[in-house]
Amino acid sequence: MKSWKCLTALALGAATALGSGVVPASADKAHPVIGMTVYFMSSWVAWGQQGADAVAKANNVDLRWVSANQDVNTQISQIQQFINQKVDAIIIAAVNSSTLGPQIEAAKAAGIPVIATNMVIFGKEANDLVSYVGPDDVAAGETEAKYAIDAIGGKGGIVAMQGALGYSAEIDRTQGIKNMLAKHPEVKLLAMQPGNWDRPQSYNLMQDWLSRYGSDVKALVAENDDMAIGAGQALKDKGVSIAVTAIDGIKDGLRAVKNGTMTETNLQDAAIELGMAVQVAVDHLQGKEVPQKALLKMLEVTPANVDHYYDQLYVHPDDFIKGLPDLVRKNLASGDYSFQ
Amino acid sequence: MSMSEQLTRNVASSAPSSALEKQGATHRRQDVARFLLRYSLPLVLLLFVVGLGLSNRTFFTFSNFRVILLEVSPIAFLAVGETMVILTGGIDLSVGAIVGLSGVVAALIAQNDGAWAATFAVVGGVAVGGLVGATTGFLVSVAKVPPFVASLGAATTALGFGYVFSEGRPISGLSDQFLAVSGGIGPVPIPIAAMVIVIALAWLALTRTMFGMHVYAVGGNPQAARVAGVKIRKIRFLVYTISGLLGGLSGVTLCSRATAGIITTGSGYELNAIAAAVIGGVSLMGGRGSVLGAVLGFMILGVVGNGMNILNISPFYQLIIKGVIIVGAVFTDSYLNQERE
Repeated sequence: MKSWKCLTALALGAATALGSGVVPASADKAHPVIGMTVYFMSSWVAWGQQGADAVAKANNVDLRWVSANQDVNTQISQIQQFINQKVDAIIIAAVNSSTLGPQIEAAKAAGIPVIATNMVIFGKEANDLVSYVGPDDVAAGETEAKYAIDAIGGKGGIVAMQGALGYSAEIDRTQGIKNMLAKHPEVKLLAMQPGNWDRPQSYNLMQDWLSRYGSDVKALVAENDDMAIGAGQALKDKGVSIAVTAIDGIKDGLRAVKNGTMTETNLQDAAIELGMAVQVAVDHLQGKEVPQKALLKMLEVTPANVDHYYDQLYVHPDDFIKGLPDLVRKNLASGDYSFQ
Repeated sequence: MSMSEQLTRNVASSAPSSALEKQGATHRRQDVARFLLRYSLPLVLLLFVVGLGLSNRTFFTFSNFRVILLEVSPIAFLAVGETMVILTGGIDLSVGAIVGLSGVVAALIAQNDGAWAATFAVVGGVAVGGLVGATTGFLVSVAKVPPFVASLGAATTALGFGYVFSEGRPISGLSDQFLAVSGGIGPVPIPIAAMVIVIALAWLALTRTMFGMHVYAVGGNPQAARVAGVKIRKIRFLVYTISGLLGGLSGVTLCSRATAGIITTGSGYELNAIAAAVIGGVSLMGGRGSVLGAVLGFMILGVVGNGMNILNISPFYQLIIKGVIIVGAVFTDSYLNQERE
C-alpha cells in the first residue's frame, strides 16, 4: 500500500511527495529504521521479502527495502545512501561477495551495524559484520550429492551442474558436491559445467551431455531447482529417466519432486532466512547477544515428505507468514535453525 | 507571401481589436505549453529535486549528491561515447561488455603492489577498451558490417575474453594504490572529476572543432558529407574507438570502486547509456542531439533512482517509473520535432 501511495505521489508531481508521510531516517530505538539491499528481486528473494516484512512489522521496524538489480555499482551507492540517511542497521544480500569492503567499513565507522544475509562476504571485511545469516551451502551440496550417489547404488557416472561461477552459493555447493564425491571413488564425475542457475541454458547443457555420454549418465546433481527443471525437460524429451537432485525448494521444484521429474531437493526457505536476518538486526539493536554466524541447515525434501512442505509454503503461505515471527524467534533462541 | 497567408493577414487586420487580443492570448498560451513541453525534462528534474529536498533532510546533503554523482559516473562515460556514436547514425552495444573486460584486465594488473602497477592497470584497462572499440570501428567503417551486429559481436567476444582471463571469478586483492583511483582529491572523488573533464572535452570537441562538425554531418546526411569531403570512414572509426576508450575508463574506475574486477559488471549498461542519450534528445537516426542532453538524461535516471530509494518505493514500481520516463521523454521529443516540421 505504501508503494502505491508513493507512486501516486510521484505521478502527481514531486511537490505532493511532501504529504506522502516520508519518515525521516534517524528514529528512536522502539521504532528502528533498517535499510536492506538485495541483489535482485528473484522469486526466491520476493518470498524472502514477505518474511522480512512480517518480522519487521512484528518488531515495529521501518524496513527500507531496495534492490540492486544485480549491479555492483548500484548496491555500493545504496549502502552509502543508507549511511547518509543514518539508518539504525543495514542488511546486505550482496550482488558479489568481494566488492563491498569500503562500504562495510564506512558503515562501521559511522556506528551502523551491518548484517550480511544469503551471500557470504569474502575477505577481511567479513570481520566487520555483526552477523551473517545464510544457508549452509556446503552441507546442502553434500546432502544432494549423497542422495544421488545412494540412488544409483554407490557407483556409476554422474554429471553436475553448477550455478553462475564465482557466487558464494556456487562455490560452497560445488565444494559440498566435491566433498561427497571424494568419499565415493567408484562414482565417476563425467562432467561439471555451469548452467548459470538458468532453465534454458541447462536444457541445452543436458542435451549435449546426453549426446556425449548417453546411458553412462546415471544421475544429475544440479545446484538449484531451475537448472534441474531445465535439464529434466531435456531428459524427458529423450525419454531418459535418471536420479535428479537439486537445491532451493522453489514451488516448481517441489512440484517436480511431487511428479517424479526430480528425485530430491533441499529446501532453503527465503522467508525464514531473510526474516531471521531482520530479527538478528533487531536483537543486536536491543543489546541482545546474536550469533556471529547463523547457518541455516536446509531441509531435505524427498517424495516421502514433499506434500507437507508444498502444502505449508505454497498452498497456505499466509498462515506460514503469520506464524513466521514466532518461528524465527524460536529458531534463534534454540541455536538450531532448522525448524520449519 | 502565399495567397492564404495574405488572406489571413487581411482578415486579421480588418478584425476588431478584441479578437486580435484574444488571438494573442491563445498564442501566448500555446507558447507556454510548448515551453513546458520543450523543457519538460529539466522541469521534472527540478520539481523532483525540490520536492525530495523539502520532504527529506538527507537528500540535500553534500554526501548524498556525491553518492548520486558517483553512481552515475560509470554510465556518464558510456553515455558520452554513445552520444558520439549515435550522432553518426550508429549504435554501440559493446560498452557494457567493455566495462567488464577492462575491469578484469585492470584488476589482474593491479593485484601487483605499487604505483607503477596501478598506473599500468589504469592504462591497460582503458587501452583494452579502446582496442575493442577500434575493432568495432574497423568492422563498421571498413568492413561495412552494420553497427548493431559489429558491436554485438565485439561485446560477445570481449565477454568471452573476460571470462577466460578471470576464469569467471571476481579478481580481488587489489593494491591500495589502485583502490585510490576511485578515492578523492580533497572532497571530490576522482571518478566525478574525470566525468566532468570528459563531458567538457566531449562538448568542446562536438561544438567547437572540425571533428564535431563532421560527426554531425556523417549522421545527418552522409551523401552530402561525402561530397563535402568529410572522411566518413575515419570519423566512424574514431567515434567507436572513443566510445571504447570511455568504456575502458568506466570499467577501470568501477573496478577500483568495487575493489574487484568482475566480468559481469556492466552487463546491461549499454542500454542505460543509450537510454540516457535518447532521454536527452539524441536522435537514434543520427545527426541531432548533444552531449549536454545526454548529461541531462543520465542525471534524470540517477536522481530519480536515488530519490525513489529515499522515498522507499518498491523496486518493482521503480522499473515501471523508469520505463515511463524513457518513453515519455522520447515521445515528447519526437512530437515537438513533428510539430516543427
